[in-house]
Amino acid sequence: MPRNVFQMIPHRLGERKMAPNPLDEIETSPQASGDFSASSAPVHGQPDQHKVELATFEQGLQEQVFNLYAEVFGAAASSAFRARWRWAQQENLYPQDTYKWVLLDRNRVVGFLATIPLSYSIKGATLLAHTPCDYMVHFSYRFYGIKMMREFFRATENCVTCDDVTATIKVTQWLGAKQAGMFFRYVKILDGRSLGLHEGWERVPSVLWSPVTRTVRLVDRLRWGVMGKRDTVRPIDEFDQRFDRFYHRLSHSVPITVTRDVGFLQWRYGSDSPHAGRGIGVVTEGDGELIGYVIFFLSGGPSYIGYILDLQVLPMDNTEVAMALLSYAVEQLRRNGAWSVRYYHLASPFTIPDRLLRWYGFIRRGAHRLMVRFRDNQWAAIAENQNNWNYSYGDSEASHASK
Amino acid sequence: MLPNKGAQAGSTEGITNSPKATNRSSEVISVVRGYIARDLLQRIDLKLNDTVRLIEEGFLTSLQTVDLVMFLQHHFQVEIDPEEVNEDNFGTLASIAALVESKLDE
Repeated sequence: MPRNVFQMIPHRLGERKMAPNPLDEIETSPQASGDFSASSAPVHGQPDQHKVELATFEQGLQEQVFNLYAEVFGAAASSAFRARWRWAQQENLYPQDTYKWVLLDRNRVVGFLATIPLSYSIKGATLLAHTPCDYMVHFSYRFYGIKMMREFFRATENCVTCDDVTATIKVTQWLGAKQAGMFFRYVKILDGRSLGLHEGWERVPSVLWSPVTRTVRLVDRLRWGVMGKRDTVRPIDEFDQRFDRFYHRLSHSVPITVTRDVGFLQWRYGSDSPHAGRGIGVVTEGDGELIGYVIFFLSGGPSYIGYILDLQVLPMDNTEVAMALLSYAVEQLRRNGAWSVRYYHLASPFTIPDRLLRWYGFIRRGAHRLMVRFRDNQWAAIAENQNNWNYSYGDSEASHASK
Repeated sequence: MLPNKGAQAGSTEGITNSPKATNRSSEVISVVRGYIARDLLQRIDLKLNDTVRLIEEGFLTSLQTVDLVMFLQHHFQVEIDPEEVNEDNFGTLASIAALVESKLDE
């Protein structure tokens, strides 16, 4: 993350594309006949428009929500949703502010929308903003998704969402969100077999992918013969207090960022998170303080995608350290079997320049939109400017579904 | 077609049950019917009567409704609040026309 706000469905980045988005346009009318000149009689199984109500989620509805998720997104996605429920909805950083709603047709759950509350630092102030997540509506009730999204915007002061679904973006904008920037997806191929996953290339004999893999590895070695520095990165297992001190400096360097202190990092990438198997690499100064870190994760088969979930350096124009961290993460992912690596990138003065990503073999493939709504005009003006942002894939709800 | 709010407001003020108002209602319905069939559903053969239940029959999803709202706002030069986008106002072509007409009369 549909949507996302809408899909606000594990709409979201990458895997979420695999699931149908309840906000996607229907390609055809559900009616086979083109003649509706006669008034329609009630049809069994269709929604009774005056009985579909918005309600606050209650624990007793949880199993129905899981079942709806399976119906909308499939059994596999529903298992992942069930597995992350406690982490995302009950044991996050702000459980009291984690709003959830359902659509009920009589007592049947036909829609669901949750939120992820996160703290943001804006010009030194700390604000809570919500991201809509796990949005879903039964196929027959898609009109009513508006009810939940309207309630989301009514109930929350501030909203940050990152989505690539046209429907989600359009509805979000209609309800008052503004586009803050484009969140581009960069892909680097490590193993030729990843190319064979693309439509139309399935029939290429797999033996032909080996030369591609060897060539990419060789070129990467040559690149790093020029750049060097990768051996300055050290792996660590857990987030410690140095990350708090690093964040304190970071928050003074960038106008708006997720409060990525040690509490956030321990929750977001902790043992109960969808990315408990993440790796961490750090670069330190002589006194042991951090000057940069990278967090990465390898998904399972059949695509074996490596994700750069977060990459931070100080000072923020220290591209040498940033590229060392990126290279380290890519190498670790390669050694662990990744076929490709994805790095989502919101271009700003606080991120790796596009030219360096391209030089390292990353190709831009698609984009999400970062959408924001801050009630206070002063904060809104800052949040709506892409150049003010420090935003990572791991900050997005969409990343929760990357398994 | 109804080009804009200004052109209609004066001619129908206070006579919502007059033949002119009825004509205007028919015209609004015709415009909305055409937009839903042609632009939203891309089925020019679709014949929707004034009282077909657009939501229950699945003709309006969230996205299509937002598209329709934007079209109505642009075409009729009216403002529709998100709170007004509900099953009562968007349930049928007739109810949509009634909403638009109420806006034109404001």
